[in-house]
Amino acid sequence: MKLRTGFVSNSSSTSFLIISKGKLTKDGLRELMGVELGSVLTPLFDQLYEDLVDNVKAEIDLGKVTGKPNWSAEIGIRADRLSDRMRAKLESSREKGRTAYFGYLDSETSNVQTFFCMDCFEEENDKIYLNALENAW
Amino acid sequence: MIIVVRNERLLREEYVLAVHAVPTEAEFLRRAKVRPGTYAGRLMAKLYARLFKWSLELKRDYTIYYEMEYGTFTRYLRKRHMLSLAEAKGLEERFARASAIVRFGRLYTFMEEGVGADLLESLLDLEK
Repeated sequence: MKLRTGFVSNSSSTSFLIISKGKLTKDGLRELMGVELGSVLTPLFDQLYEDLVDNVKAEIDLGKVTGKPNWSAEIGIRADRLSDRMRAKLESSREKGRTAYFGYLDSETSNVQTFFCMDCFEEENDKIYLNALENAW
Repeated sequence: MIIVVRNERLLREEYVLAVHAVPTEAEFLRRAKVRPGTYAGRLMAKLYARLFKWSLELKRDYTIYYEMEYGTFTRYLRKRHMLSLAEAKGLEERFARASAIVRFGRLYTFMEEGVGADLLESLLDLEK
């Protein structure tokens, strides 16, 4: 008989939505997150950038979305799980011609991705909106 | 000086570090080059709090509660914190110079596997 003394946990995943003015860049993400040039946290946030980019499941030019969009079909997610606020954000960003990225992070790839997957946050500046609060997969 | 201790019961790393001078939170954030109030700023503010507000400060703990029981800082570190003799002696040598000797569990999963020790070394004025 074997006894396990540690805790047992399921893996996790969480979805994210990014709305960006132009293409999402490493510098743009660092600026959004408050990481200055030469920061010791640069590798952490550069890894987050790589993880986000690698896990983008849909990239949408919101300026080209016409009529009354079916976000589930556009993005390939359960749009009914998006909050009204997040849907409103997508709507308002259409007029501005922003780019939306939708994807998800998981807790089994790396320590860095696990950390951000388990955290809940929403950040915004004049160029990027990052929502990692809601699950819509 | 920084010692990494693997806590097998909690399955996480813990650190014992001797700090020459305790920085203010603002100074800590400046060293980390993160802007206060942002995500990275909050991340570092929480690490600061874990380090200097919520952690166990061993000099104080020993001096106030355990000096009479253990007699020396080395014995306190060996018996109460299960550190090796070399680690305990190393910390005792730094006892007078260090303004704080802190023991705390790693706060973030990304600090595992050496990342946390490197991060703390670059942010703190540690006793060599």
